Amino acid sequence: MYETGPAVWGTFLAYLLATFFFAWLAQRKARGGAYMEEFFVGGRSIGPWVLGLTWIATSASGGSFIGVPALAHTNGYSMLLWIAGYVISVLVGFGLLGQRIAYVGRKTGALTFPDLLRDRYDSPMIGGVSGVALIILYTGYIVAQYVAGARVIEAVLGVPYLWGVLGFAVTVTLYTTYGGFRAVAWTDAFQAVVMLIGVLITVTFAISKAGGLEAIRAGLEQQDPALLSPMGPSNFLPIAAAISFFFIWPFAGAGQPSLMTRYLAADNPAGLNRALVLVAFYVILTYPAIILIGVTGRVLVPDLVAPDHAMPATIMAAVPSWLAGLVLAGPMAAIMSTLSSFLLVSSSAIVRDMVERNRKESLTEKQAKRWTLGSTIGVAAVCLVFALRPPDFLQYIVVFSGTGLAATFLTPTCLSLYWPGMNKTGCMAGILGGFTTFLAQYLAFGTRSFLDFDPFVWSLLFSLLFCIVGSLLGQRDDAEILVRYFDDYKA
Amino acid sequence: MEPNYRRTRREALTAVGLWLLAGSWVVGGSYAVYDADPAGVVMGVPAWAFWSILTPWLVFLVVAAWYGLAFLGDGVER
Repeated sequence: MYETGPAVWGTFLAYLLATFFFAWLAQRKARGGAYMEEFFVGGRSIGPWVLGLTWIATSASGGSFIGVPALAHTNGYSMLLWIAGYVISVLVGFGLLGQRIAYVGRKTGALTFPDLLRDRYDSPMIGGVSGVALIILYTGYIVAQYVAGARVIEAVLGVPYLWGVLGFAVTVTLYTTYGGFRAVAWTDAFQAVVMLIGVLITVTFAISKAGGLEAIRAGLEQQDPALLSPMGPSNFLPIAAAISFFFIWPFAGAGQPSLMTRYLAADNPAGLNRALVLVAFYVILTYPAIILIGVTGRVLVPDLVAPDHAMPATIMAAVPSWLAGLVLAGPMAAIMSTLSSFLLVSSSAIVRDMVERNRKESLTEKQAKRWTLGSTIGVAAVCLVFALRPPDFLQYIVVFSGTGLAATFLTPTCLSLYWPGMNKTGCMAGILGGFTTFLAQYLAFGTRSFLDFDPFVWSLLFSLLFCIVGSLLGQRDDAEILVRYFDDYKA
Repeated sequence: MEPNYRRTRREALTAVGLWLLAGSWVVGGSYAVYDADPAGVVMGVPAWAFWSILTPWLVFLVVAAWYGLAFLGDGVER
């Protein structure tokens, strides 16, 4: 579709080789502790740099590198307001639950997100329900990442779709099963750096090619003055939507189980604090630049075959061809780093929450290994089959799972860890209430619910209400459990 | 010594407070600046985006550095 020479292929292959190198390097750092703790949370020994970079690489998916520039190409500067929740989302993400989850995880031995809730209430039911919800939503997400990735390399390198999907599935599954969380975190860190370099190179070349910010502004004004307004063309972003997105990015981010798992892997709380600052700095370097790339693309390449080509087309138009391969690895890196983390979250939910914790005794080392490898490969394979012929409802799962996961779990998790009065009834009511109110609004109104706010905003409120009412109606938990979580608790 | 849940809860609530502050500036400011001066430009960027997105972004980077390095505890409590 675009001109791609051997230089592009060469850097691309070098990128893949480097990814495997980092997986191998990570493996050498393993300390040989308990198998599952090593495989699912990196032996709780991940330092601040790697932790920060894996956090952001997991959170930035194919959507940030393909979908967001596409939206900026269509809607202009209003996308800066659309994405503005990232001004504060790192602080909220780490500040809301980071240290608390790291502390509780160490104390109770939690390895997965469902573990955190199950142990707090000693309730297999809560563990099971959250495990199942998590597996369904994340497999949908994995399929979508396969599809997005394969479409990008189809557009850029001319690789047939089938081979693209296979390539993604096999590469990511290989290094994920090879090194578990530690390999995922280290390759994530490398991929985050590739993403950063790609974005910075692209934005510099694109703006200079267009003749500077003032020339870009004039070009946009000539095409459509609405491209320079906060609402965007045809009122793309009315104020209720802008407020909704300011809720969504920080709080839906904070509520992702794939990110909460990262806190479990921290080597110590002070490391989490440093990771927060690192990621905040990373975000300010990349996110405004991603919007600028899309906006500049509108001036450089006003007509696109498909909106999703905004990023690759701008790269091809502005970046010298010998650099293009490196830059195009950016979106690949974003997709692969998100994929590997989701794969691990799903397989850990199967092994830990579906299998091990429903047995009388825990798995032996050998059984754990077999189950872990089996379920990781299993999830990857099932998703591969779906990705070959993506089902029509896929897009619904994707839109749903991003905010739906947080609408379901964020409030119950916060209250479980911070409020001694929260009990089993309240937690279950919060999970089911958050999920059903979100689903109902979504089916009835789409993304514009009451007063034009996104269903997510209301679901957070409803879920809070359900948690509190449920807790007041239900029975208090055993003082024995409560003392473990709330040290100065007195019955 | 203060238990972990009390300290982290205070820190979490502070994060929510800062979020509210950032949101009022960013969302409120964007529309307000645009209403006052729809054609304004600062350094080649629409004025509303410069004063209400890029400026607060920089300010909240400093806030994040303070929050992470000075405000948050390092978890030595029981």
